[in-house]
Amino acid sequence: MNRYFLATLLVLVSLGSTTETPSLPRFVDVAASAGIRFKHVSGDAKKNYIFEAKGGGVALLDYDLDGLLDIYFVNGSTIDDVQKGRDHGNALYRANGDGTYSDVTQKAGVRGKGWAMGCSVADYDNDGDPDIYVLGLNRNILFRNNRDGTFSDVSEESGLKGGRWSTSAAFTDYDRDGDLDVYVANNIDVDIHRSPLVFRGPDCDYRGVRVMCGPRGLPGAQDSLYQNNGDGTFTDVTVKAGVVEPQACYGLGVATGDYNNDGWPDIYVANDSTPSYLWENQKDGTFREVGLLAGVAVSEDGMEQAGMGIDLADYDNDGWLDITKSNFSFDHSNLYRNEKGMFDDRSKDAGLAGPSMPYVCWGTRFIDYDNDGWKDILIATGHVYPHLIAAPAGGEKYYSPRVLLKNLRNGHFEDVSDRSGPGIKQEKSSRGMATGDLDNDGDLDAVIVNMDDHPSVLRNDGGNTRNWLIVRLRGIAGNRFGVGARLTARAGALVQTVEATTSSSIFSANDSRVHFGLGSATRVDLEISWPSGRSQSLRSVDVNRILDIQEPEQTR
Amino acid sequence: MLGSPGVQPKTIMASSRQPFVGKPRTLSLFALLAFSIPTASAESPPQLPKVNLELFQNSVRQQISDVYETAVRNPNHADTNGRLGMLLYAYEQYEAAEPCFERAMFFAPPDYRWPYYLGRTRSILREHGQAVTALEAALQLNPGYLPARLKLGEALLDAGDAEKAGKALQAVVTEYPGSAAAHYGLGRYFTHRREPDRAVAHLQKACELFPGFGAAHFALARVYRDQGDYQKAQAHLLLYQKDKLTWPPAEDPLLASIQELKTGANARLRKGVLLAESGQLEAAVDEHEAALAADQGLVQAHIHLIALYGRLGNAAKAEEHYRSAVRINPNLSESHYNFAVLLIQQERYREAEEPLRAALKLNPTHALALTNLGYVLMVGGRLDEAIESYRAAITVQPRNRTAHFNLGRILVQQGRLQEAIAHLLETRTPEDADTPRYLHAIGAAYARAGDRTLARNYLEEARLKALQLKQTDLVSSIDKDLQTLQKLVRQP
Repeated sequence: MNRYFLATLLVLVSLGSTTETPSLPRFVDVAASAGIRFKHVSGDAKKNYIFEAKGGGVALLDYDLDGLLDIYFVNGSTIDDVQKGRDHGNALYRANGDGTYSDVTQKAGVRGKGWAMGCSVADYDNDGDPDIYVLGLNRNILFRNNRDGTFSDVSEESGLKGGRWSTSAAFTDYDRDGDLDVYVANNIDVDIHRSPLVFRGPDCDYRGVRVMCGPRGLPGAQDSLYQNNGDGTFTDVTVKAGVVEPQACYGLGVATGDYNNDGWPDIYVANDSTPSYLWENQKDGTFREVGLLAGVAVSEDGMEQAGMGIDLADYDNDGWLDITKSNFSFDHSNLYRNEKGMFDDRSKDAGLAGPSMPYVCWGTRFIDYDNDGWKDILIATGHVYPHLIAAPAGGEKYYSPRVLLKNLRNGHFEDVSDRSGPGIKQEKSSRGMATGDLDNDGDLDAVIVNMDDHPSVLRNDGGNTRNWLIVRLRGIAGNRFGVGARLTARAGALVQTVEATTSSSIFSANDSRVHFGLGSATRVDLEISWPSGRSQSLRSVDVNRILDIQEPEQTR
Repeated sequence: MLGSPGVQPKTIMASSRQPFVGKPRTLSLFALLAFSIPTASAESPPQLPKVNLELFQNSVRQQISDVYETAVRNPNHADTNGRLGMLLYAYEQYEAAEPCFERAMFFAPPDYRWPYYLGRTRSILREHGQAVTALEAALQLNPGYLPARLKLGEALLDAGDAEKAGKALQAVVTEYPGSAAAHYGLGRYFTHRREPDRAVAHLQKACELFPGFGAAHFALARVYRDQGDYQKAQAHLLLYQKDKLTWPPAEDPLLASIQELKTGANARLRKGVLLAESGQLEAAVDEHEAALAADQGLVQAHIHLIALYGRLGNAAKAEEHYRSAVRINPNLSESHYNFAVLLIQQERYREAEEPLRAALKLNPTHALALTNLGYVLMVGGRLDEAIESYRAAITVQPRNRTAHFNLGRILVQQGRLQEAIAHLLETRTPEDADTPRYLHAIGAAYARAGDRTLARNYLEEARLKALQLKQTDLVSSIDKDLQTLQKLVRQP
C-alpha cells in the first residue's frame, strides 16, 4: 500500500511540476485583420545599392488626441521612380477603437514625397499635439499637426528640410529651454539623382559573393543637430554644439537619455561599420563625444560594429539607463550595463550573444512585455542580401524570426522566442520597429516594418495578466509631452526608473506614454522629475489604468 | 607660406562585413540539403557538404569547383578533404568547412593540421566547447605549435573554463615571454577574473613587445578606466585608434596557407590595399595589377593604381589607369579626384582643376576635392574663387584644418585679419606634427592685427612645439618673427 501510495504521489508531484510552468504572453500578427494594407517598397529586388536594403520605419502616435494610438508608416521608392517624380507614399492609419484601422493618409495630407526611410514624432511647436518628422534620401519633411485631422508640410520654413540621406532622428530638449530640439542621423553622402554607388571591389563582396557596395568605401554624411528657436523654426547648431564628427560615419539609430544622471539629456548614435557615438551634454549648449571611454562605441574586443537600432532603459532597475544596440549577423547585439556613468558590455554574460548572433538585427526595444516590472528585449531581424533567399550561404537566411529575450531579474536574459507566439516566430526581413499599447489593455504591442512586404502588427496577448500603469504626461513649463521627464515608480521592493521619450529603435518612433509593468502590486508611488526642473510625487496610485499627469505649476 | 594640399588620394578601405562567425539557430530545409552536416561518429565521418556554386563570383566559383571535384573524386583522402575545407574557410564558408576538416581528421588522425583548422573553424562558429576539444587534439599531435596554444587559451575563456584558460595561457607566457599575443591573452584572462593589477602587467607587456597592438591598447584602456585612471585610459585609447586592427604578425604558417588560397580579384585587391597601407607600394602595385589580370573591370583597382603609381613617380602609368577607370565608369568621383591629386603632386595645378571639378560634379560634398580645388585656385592667384571653395569645404567638413588654414592665410593677405584669425584658430586641435606651423600662422596673424601679446604667446608656443618635433627650419622662421615682434614692442 505504502509503496503504491508513494509511487502515485511521485507521479502526481512530477505531473504537478510539469504543469506549474507559467505561460508566457504571446504575440500575434493582426495586421491583416486590423485592415492595414500598407506595403513597403524599397528599391530593386536585387538591392543593387545600399540604401535599397535599409528599409523603413514606423511611428506610433495619437495624432487626433482621441486616446488611441494611430500608426504612421514611411515608404521607400525605386531609383527610377524617384528620378521620374513618382511617389509610393507614406501611410497614416487611424485607430477606429475596435482593433481596426482606417487609412486617412490623403485626408491628413501626410503622403509625403520621394524616398522616406525614418520617422520621428514630437510636439515641436508645443501646441499640445504630436507632429511628424519624416527622414529620407535627399529630403526630410516636417508635418505640423493642424489639430483638425490634417497636417501641413512646414519643412521649408522650419529649416528641417535636410538634403542628405537621413535615417533616424531624436527629439530632445538638450538646452532645457522648454522646447524640443532634434538630432538627425545621416548615413552616406549620396544624391540619388546623380552618383551611382556601385564600384567593383572588396567592399562589394560578402563571403565570395558579389553584393551591393558599402558602407565602407563610401563617403559618410555628417549628422546634424538643430536647435528649436521656439517660433516654429530651427537652427543648425551642429558646429556650435560641437557634435561635428571628426570623420563622418554612417548614422542609423538615435536615442536620447540622461545616461549619467546629471539632469541633462545625452544622445547615443548607432553607426554602421564605424564606432558609435555617445554625445555627453556639457550643460552649456555643447556636447563632448565620450563613446570610447564610456565603453559603448565598439565591441568588447575593440572591433567596430555595424550598429543599427538602439534603446536606452534601466533593465536592471538600479536607476541608471543602460543601452542595447543591434548589429549585423554573427556579431551579437550589445547589452551595455551602466555602472554609474561608465558601461560594461554584458552581452555574452547576460545571454544576448547567442540568440542574436545568427541574424542581422534592426529595430530593438527594451519592453516589459509581461508586466513583471523588468525590461525585456525585443529585436526585429532580417538580412540585407537577397541572394540568401534562394540559396542561404553557410546557413544565413534573408527572412528570419524576431528575437524575444525575457529578463530573468538577475542580470540575465532567457531566449523565449520560440514560445512567444507566431508573431515572434514569423520569418520576415524586418527593419524598423515601434512599441506601444495599441489596444490600451495595459501591455505593450509592437509594429514592425518588413522589407517589400506588409508590416507586422504584433498584438500582445496575455501580457496584462499582471498589473500595470500607463502615464500620459502633460508638460507646462517644458515640452508638452514631457519628453525627458524621469519617472520613478515604487511598488514594494520593486523600483523602476523610466525616462520619457519617443525616440529609439531604428527609423521609428514609439508610444509617448510611459508604461510600467507592476507585477502583483495594486498601488504604486510615483516621482516625476520634469525637464523644467520641477518635481512631483504621487502616492498610492491605483494601477491598471492610463493616468494623465500634468506638470505642477511653479510654487512661489 | 602656403599650405600644401597634404591630402592623400582616397583609398577605399578593403574591409568587408564582419566574417561569418556564428551558427544559425535553425537551418532551412534548403540549407540542410545544401550543407548536410551530420555529426561524425567514431565509425564514419560526416558527408561532404553540398555547395551551391552559382552564388559565387566567377573566379571564386571556378576555384571552389575544381577543388570540390577533386574531393568528390577522392573522398577518402585526407588532403583533398582538408584542402576543400581550407578553401571554404578562406571564403568564410565556415559551416561548410567544418565537415571537411572532420573528414580530413578521420582519414589522417596523426596530421595536426586538421584538428587545428577544425578548432579555429569551431571558434568562429562559436562552438567553443568543441573548439577546445579540437585544439587539444591538435596540441597532442604537435604540442609546440604556438598559435594552437594561444587559440586554445582563447577558446577556453570563451567556453567559460577560466581556470583552465589561465593555466594554458600562463604556460604559454612562461615558455614564450616574448609573445605579445600571449601576454594579451593572459591580460584578458586576468581582466575577466577582475584582477586588474595582473591584467595591466600583461597587457602593458603586450604593448611594449608590440607597440602597434591596437587590441591590447584597447583592453588596457578598459582596465585603467575601470580603475578610475581616465588619463591613462585615454592615452591608450588614442593608441588603439591609431592601430585599431593591428595585431602582432602571427607566425602561423597554417593560417597563412589558407590566406594564400584566396586568389580572386577581390582578394588580391584587398591584399594590395593592406600592402599600400603598410607602405609597401611596389608590392601593392603588384597585387593590384594581379587583381586586374583576373578582372579587368575591377574599377577600384584602377582607382587605387592612380594613387599608387603617382606615389611611385610613374605619372604615365597613373594616367593610364585613370583613363581605364573613366572608361569603365565615368561616374565615380574617386577616379577624377585621385587623378587630380596626382597632377597637384606634379605641380600641374592648372590641369588639376578639370578632374577636381569633375569629381565635384559627381559628388558636390567631396570635402577633399573642395579643399584641393581651393588650393589649386589659390596657387593660380584666383583668390576669391579659392575662398569660395574653402568655405564650401568647411561647410561640409567643419573641422577641415587644411581648409581653415589656407583660407586664413588668404584672408590675412587680403587684410581681413579678424576673419582670418577666426579660421586659423580652428586649426589648433587636434595636436599633431602640423600644430607648430598652424600656431606660427596664428601668431603672425595676431602680429599683423596689432595684438602683440597674443602674437608673442602663439609664436612662443609654436617655437616650443617645433623644437620638440625637431622642426629646425620652422624654429628659425619663428625666431625671425619673434625678433621682428620684439623690435616692434621696443618702439614707442
